[in-house]
Amino acid sequence: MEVDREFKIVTLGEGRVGKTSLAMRYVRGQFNEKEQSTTNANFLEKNIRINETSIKLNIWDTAGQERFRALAPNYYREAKGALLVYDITDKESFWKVVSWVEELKMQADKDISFVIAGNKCDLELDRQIPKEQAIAYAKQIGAAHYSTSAKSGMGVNECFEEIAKLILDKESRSGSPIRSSKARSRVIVKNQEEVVKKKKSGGCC
Amino acid sequence: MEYVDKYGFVSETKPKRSNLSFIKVNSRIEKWQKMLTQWEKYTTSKEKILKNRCRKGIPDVIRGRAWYMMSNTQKVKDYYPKNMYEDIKTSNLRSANMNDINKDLARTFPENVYFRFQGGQEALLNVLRAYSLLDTEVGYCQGMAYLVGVLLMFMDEENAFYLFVNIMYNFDMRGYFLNGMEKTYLSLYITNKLMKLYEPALWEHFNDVGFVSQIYATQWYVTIFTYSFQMETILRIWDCYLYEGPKILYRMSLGFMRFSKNHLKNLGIDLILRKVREIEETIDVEQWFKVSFNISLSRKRIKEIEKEYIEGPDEEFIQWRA
Repeated sequence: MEVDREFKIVTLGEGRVGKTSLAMRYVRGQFNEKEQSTTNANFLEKNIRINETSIKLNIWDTAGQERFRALAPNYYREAKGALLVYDITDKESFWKVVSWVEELKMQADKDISFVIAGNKCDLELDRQIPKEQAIAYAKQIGAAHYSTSAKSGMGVNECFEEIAKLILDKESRSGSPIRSSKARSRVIVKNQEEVVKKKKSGGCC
Repeated sequence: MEYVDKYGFVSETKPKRSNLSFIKVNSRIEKWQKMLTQWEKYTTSKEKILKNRCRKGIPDVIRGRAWYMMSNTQKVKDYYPKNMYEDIKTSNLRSANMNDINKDLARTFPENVYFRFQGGQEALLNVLRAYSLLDTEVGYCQGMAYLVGVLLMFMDEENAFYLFVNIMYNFDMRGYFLNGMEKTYLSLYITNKLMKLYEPALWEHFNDVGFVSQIYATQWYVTIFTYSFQMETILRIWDCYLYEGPKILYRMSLGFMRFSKNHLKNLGIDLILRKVREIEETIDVEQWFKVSFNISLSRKRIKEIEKEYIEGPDEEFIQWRA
């Protein structure tokens, strides 16, 4: 198959939030209740088409535990997009997303696109992170927020494809002249739809 | 239809029958029983025989005891206060790593019937918690659960604990799990250098396509090859590792690439890792060992490369580092 573009994407987030499950659901359409704990990183790929462009996504699915952060720069370096995953039933995992954003802003490609996924939203009853809070934060950093469930499949295609769209958008925009040096740090909130829609309805799924 | 193999792993395909005859297995068991009773002799004057028998694979019924002896774990156990394991296990001490440990219990060998349920997970928890209390600097790190899991298939909690302590300290697995993972970078440096020395064409190809050793070898070293191979294969590696020591990791890694090179030499980055993972799952352990043990690689050479890395590493073999 002819591929027009190739994008490197990383999944980042606390251990056991479902990074591997999201990637597996997206690429293979499968969900394994008993997914192994990841050491170092897995690699998956998927060909997609957005508008007229065929894109190959190279997804690096990393190990979540803090210690492996020492190896993470090698995976997010040169990445064009990051899927930052937290578990809606685990408060700490959301703060981990915040700290990943801080690190990526300092260390990663300046143009890296973020999408935040609040995973395990099939466990709505155990939710610890108010959705509004997560969405507001996503907006702050110019990222899209998705409620996902690797188990049910909800939001999974959308969040990965959103990353691809964001990257494409950035590429086409950077083709145009940059007005000032400040322009680079300007961020545009994509997918307002979810922001608005989800604010009104309390739950998901 | 689900099948369970002899190590308790569930799969949808029928487990492969061993191609060793019943008679052969029994004769090996007898040989090992004899060796275990004359251990002193076999670790000194008959050392070569012992080493070769390890490389051929230790019979399952003997394995736990053999590992314990080969690795000199009794010495480690004797070094610590009497009943230390039981005391730590039953103490109320709070481990700072409980959260991380708990998260991995159900995610370690989830396809294994023993670790799928309470019993196996509880044993894992006990050993990992005790270790995290003994070695607070390392505490717990992802990867460790797999190592303890392998041990628990062949011995009780207490012996598994001491053998694990032994691996961590005396086989220097700690270096991989400490903050910063320094040892990982050293191991990758050695891997790269050996690739250039022994498989220059493949090394060059990997460089051309950007297939750096961190991608494939980190998991191998951090889990002593436990993460993605068949259990049968993993155990054969451990049989050698626990007797010959950590050097075996480099030999197996280099052997893997030499064995697989015809499948990998023309592939681009996107297919190459997939192929490596595929080979991991299906590799014929006898063939792999044959290639690996035929490589002439001395402890001295590895020591030299280690020294070089510490004193003044060659940039060519440092990939990807921040």
